[in-house]
Amino acid sequence: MNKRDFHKKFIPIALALVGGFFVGGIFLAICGYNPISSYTAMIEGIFSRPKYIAQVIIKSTPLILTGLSVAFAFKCGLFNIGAEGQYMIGVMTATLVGTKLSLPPVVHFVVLLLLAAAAAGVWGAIAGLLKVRLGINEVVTSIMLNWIAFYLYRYIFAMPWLHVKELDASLAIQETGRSTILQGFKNTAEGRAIMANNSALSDILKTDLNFGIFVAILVIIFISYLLNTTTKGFEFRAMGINQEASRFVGMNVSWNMTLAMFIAGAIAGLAGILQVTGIYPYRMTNLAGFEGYGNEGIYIALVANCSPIGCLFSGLFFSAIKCGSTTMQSKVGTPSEIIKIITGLIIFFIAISFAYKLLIAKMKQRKESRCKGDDK
Amino acid sequence: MTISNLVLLLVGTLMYTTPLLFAALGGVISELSGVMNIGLEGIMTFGAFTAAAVSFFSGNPFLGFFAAGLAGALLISLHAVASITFRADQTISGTAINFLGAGISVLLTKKFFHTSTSPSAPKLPSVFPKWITHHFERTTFQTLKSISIATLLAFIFVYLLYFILYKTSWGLRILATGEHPAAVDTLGISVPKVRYFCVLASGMLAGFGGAFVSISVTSSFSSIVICGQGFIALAAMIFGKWTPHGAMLSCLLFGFARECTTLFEKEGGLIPPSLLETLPYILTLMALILFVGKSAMPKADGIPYI
Amino acid sequence: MVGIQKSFGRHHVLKNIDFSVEKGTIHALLGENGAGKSTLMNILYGLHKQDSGDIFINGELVEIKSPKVAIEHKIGMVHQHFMLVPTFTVAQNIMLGSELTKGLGIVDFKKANREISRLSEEYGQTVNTKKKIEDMAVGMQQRVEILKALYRGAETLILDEPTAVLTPQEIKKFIENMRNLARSGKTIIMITHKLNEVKQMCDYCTVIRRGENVVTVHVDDYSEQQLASMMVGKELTFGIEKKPANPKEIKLEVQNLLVSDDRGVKRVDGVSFEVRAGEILGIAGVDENGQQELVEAITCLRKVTSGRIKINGKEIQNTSIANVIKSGIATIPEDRQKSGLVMTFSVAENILLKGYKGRPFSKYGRMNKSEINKFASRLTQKFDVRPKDCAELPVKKLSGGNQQKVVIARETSTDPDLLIAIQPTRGLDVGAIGYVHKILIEQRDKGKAVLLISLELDEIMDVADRIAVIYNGKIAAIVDAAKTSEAEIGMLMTGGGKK
Repeated sequence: MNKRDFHKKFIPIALALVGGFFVGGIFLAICGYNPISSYTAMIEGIFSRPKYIAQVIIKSTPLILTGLSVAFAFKCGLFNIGAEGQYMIGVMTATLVGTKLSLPPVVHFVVLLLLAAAAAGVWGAIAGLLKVRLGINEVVTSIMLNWIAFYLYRYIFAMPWLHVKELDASLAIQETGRSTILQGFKNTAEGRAIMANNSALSDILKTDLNFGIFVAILVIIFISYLLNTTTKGFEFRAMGINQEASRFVGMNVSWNMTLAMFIAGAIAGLAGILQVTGIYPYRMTNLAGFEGYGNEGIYIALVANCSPIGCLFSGLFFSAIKCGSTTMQSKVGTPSEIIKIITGLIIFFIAISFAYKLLIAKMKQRKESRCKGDDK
Repeated sequence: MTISNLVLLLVGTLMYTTPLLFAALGGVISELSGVMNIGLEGIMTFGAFTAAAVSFFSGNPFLGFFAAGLAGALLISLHAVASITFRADQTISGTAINFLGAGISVLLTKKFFHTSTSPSAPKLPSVFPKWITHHFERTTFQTLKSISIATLLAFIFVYLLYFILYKTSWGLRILATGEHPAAVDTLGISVPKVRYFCVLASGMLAGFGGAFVSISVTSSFSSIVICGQGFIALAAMIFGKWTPHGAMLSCLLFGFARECTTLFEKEGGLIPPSLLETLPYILTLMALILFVGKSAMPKADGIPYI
Repeated sequence: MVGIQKSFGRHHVLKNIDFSVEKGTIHALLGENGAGKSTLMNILYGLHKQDSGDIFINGELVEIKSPKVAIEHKIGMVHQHFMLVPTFTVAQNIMLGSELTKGLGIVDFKKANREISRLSEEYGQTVNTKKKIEDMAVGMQQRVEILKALYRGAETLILDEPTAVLTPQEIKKFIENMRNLARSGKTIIMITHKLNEVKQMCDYCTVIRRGENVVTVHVDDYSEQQLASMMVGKELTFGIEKKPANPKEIKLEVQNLLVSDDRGVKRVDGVSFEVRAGEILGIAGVDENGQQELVEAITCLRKVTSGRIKINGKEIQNTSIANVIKSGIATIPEDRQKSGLVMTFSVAENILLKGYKGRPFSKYGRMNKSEINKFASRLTQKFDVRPKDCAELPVKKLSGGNQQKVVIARETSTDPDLLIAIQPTRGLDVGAIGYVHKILIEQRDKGKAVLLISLELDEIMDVADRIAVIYNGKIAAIVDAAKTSEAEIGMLMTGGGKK
């Protein structure tokens, strides 16, 4: 990407971010909350302690991955609104494999990861297949599939061989299947001694430290590589921009579409897998409604301009303001829902980014006519 | 199955159908004019909040109901500006509306009531006047009195919309705008004007749908009352082939399936409840697979017109 | 109407044009593609706004800001692509925007049907007002468009390339109708680049060339040849230098082909022909006579009802596009932006859109960018794609002619046995047209079989060695290009017999 292209894509997004916070601030002021102290508290909640920073990174993993799932689908010309359902299928399958199968460390995790990602991928591929074979809009099928996944989740969750009544949660995933870091160490005598001497380290270790973020980064690298250097990625990108031309030059668009939805599903599933294997209590919890990761994936992909690497930063960014908003609510009493409003505004501003282009075009025209005027 | 169960089935079906129907009609009018409306969910949420709050403060549920329509139109005007004037991607701007609707509603709830659930507000009255419901007391038909007046209104809107779309000059212009905006433009009709009108009407209807949930089904607002109904309405609209009567039938089908699951759960059958609850969605999916082609969609739906 | 004059600013589509039309006449606006004819008329109809210049109607200065104002001034326009809602009936389409109502906006469909039937009979343009547009033939749709204008009281009718989509019988009927309208006092402006029609039906003719008006003449005073040279701006040298063909073995063989369109209507009805290596077979015909379905069947975009398509003796009908390509068919599509190119991809990526899988461009599923760019640079140089060194530029930044060169470069680079070219020069300027023709003939001389489908008779006459004329889904005749005349082909295209 050359510099000018980068600016062209980056400036509208930067403007949208600024605009979102600005208008959100006005909204806060109207509602009687002080926007400046609210935002300050939010920023403190992100950076002021090592624990906070660790928290931001840990919580960014599912956001980055669902964002990547949506972004990848967008690149292939598909709208994956089904990340929510794929996420739940991921959590569910991971729990089943994690609790019911006993395997050596590493192996257990890898088997769990592959099986659960495949299950979520199949869930995504259903929508792709229905679109390809019967021409049914993938948005509608995905909405239905989300709900079916939700109730399926609750059904499995309530099974007597999985459900622990006292906790109202499922059995916990065996330690061999978890993606945690140093959680065992924390509780040893040696660990306690080190933590007592080093406050920053102990602060970080108190969080749900896990290696999910590294998996996410690996997946990002894989998807970037797939899209940019492989022949399959070439087909995906061509299909994303011009389906008819892709078909015309003999590419198998139907198969590619199903495959793309499989991959998107697997990535969203991965978000769920890493969540349940990396975050305490390592169990399926009772869901009253959607957790919302699917919807969050949409805006993360948008802010990232659908670039896989962009998803990393956009996921971190939104994780940060989410974490910050909890601190903000407890410190100065500003409701954390302002984040939803700011996010909505950011999406809105991205949507009308055409207006920026119009504005720029107009300014250029004015400049030109002024130049002409000088000539005369 | 007893008669009182049948009555219960009818009442429950209507209860589940009504909010979906309002929103689906909103979807129909917007998309027929060529503007996709994926933001129904957010509008419903905002409508539900407004209705609960206004009804609570004024003590008048009707005021709450109409305020919800107004609020819906207000919120969706953002989508209208983005998609009509700025020619934005309509999926993206619809998604924005979903976030804004949810965020604003919950934030204002916390602001006004200092909790995440609004206090109990006066509900919309029954469709039957008191002197009729009086006769129902302690009969098998006693549950009939919980049919809301807004349910009637929803079905009136079905007819009204049908009439406007297929019998009047306004309808002719709306349909033409969704199918072939350039043709409308060359005849000296303003495409943006038609679309603005339809999108705002869509917001009003979806707002009503949300209001029904918060001041008829329940009597308070919390962030989970709408819970995906906007998206179901969207599916119902598509399944109903973008017509008011089609939307009505698919909403009824969906409401019926929902109520069946509720009843079966009470009775305690062979099938575990959570599996049963997938029924409406599986049914819709099956119906889509079996009956729907891609042809019914308005040709210019979702495409900005320059 | 006296004295319309306007000029355009930045793009210089129109440079200071004067144009006036006399009431009750049929006036042709003649010019090549891109000369600015349509833009001029869109300004008159209020769809575009002129940068400067004035419009006078009946001697009065008017400002036409929108089609609404144009309609108020009794101007009606029939666009090249019809502005009809396919799912609406004739009556609904005609009254849209000025509906007959019973009050409260309730449409009086009965009265409307009656009114429109009356109107249609008055002007001799009979239509069934209750029929849906999507179920009607193109000629009938055009009638509806004309009635739409008349319904609004149009005195001046602008028609944009009205005959391009009509069958020969329809054209005949159309000319008659226009004559009648003019006789009844309507003024008709016809945008066209077809000289014979100008001669047949118009009273006056204004020639536009590259946004400048050349001259307005009385049609009867000039010959077709003279009009043509005014249009192009130089004496016409139509002929292209080419050696006689040297046909060899049969490459493509089509036998008794039957193909239906999406609605199940039979569009190709028992077509048989063959194309040999080293020859160009041209398929001539008026639009909508089955050419599109025929080509789609050959390239496997459409299912064949019955019959056989063989390439090198191997049957390929109803297989897959990938198989067709593998069998050695390359296609230059009709709409390059829609089906030929991925517009945001680079020139190199577009050139390799077919060959990306083979070595050296990819290995074990990994693409080799430097090989691809090297190959693409070589091809862009060979085909003189401008600007220079454009291999890594997005193809959307290129001009139409250069985009077409990219498509041609790709399609010929796979070394096909049969090259199909569908309207390969549509929308290109004169220079690019000549270049495309040269390439087609070059391919022939290399021993390829070439199938050229075009609506431009001149193109077929210049380039093809043999000409198959398609009419109403059937091959009317296959003739030797050297031994035929435009008149003969014209007869065949219009359903007339061989002389």
